[in-house]
Amino acid sequence: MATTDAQPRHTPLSLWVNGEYRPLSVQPRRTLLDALRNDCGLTGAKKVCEMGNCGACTVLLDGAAVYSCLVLAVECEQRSVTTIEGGAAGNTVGALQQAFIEHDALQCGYCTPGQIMSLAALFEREPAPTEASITEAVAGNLCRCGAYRHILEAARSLAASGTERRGAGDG
Amino acid sequence: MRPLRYVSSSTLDAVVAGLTAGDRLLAGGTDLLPLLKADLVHTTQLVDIKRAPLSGAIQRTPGGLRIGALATLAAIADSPLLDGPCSLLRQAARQTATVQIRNRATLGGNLLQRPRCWYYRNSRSDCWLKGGQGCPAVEGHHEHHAIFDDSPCRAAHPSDLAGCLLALDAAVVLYGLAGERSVSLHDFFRAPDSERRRETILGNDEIITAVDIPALPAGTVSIYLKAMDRKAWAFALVGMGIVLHRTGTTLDTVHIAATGLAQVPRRLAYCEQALAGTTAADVHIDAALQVLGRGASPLPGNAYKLDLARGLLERGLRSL
Repeated sequence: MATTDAQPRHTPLSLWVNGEYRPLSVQPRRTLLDALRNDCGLTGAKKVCEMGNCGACTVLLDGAAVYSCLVLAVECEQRSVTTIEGGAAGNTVGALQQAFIEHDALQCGYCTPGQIMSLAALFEREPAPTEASITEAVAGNLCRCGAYRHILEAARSLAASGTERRGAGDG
Repeated sequence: MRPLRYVSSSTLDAVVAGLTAGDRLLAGGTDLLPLLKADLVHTTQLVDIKRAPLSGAIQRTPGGLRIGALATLAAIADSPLLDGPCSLLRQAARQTATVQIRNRATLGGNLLQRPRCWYYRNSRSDCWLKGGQGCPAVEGHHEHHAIFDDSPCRAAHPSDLAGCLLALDAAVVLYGLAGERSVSLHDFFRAPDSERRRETILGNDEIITAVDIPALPAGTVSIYLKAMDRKAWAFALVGMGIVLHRTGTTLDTVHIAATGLAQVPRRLAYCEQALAGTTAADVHIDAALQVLGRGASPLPGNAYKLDLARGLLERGLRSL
């Protein structure tokens, strides 16, 4: 077995975060969540349970929702990460943020970035998701304030406008 | 904190050679990372096998179906190839964990995940499976634990897919220093004993490369029912996989496997025998439910699992 001295403690890593190139240097144990929060200064993804139970750290990795506390940063070489900070007028994350505001879909707000990113992954795939798809998408995101009803309402409103948009496109 | 190296795999031979030197393999990481963080896994090198010459493909083979070890649970849940006789696999994958976990977790890792037992997961508890003296669950908190005592360890196996694959008579393809071998899931899972405090017979130099599901006769039907202590994102208290085939009205194939009842996924042979060759009329179903607990020795806090298992089996049989 080679000794651990053979490898530098830090590994260079090229990551794309919200469309920006982010060259980093990370230890192998560093999670994607810690790399985002501490090395990129993006504190939107929240660090809560650190064991894949709560969903507060949810981000998109190449478009798929993942718990960033269960991903090592070194696994993400040349991969694309989207966080809540990527929200802007005209994109899915931004539309969800607006829907959450309009439907009062948060109380303390701690789970909100994770809820929105889980829904963003869904809406990117299905612009007008069914009720079952919406519920499934956020089943892995806990809200201890109990804002679930409004979170689902926010998602439904966007699904309804997605249906309208799709209808208009078809016409 | 212990230093850790991270490398990507190049060849399967290099991967299995590294295993004998203490490497740990990283695929989805959904079980490995919590174990690493809890200091329950000790290694100096992680080998990322996602770039290994390993497959995650789900494909037809001359003998049935093959699912590559790197197939994610999301891919299994979404695969139309798994409709029909194997539809219980899609149902099970869909009910496993959450979208975020299913996007990462792989089939190989799912079959090798370690128990969810709170004593096992607590690095400070003296637990037989980790090399300690006794099983603290027996006289402690064991409401999620096994009702069969095939092992000094009372943890229940957590995998939804493992029970379903056992009901499908699937086999795992293993690769090690001695080459490739195929082992039926019946033999692959074995209750831990003093010689081998593990839930499988996987060699120290071996890796799962694929799972083979034999072809089933047309008209085979299946279902997976899962009881959880909440509606989503929980491990099974009891999971019940049923695979049936009828000739006319007579059941000529009855495969029933449960998760959550024993240290490893368990075929309910007495129930199968009670139903095989019958028409699954009420009287036959009742007979199967009666023998469901044969050989079990529930602990004071988990006898409810027997009722739960009977309920799931009855509901499943009546729905197929």
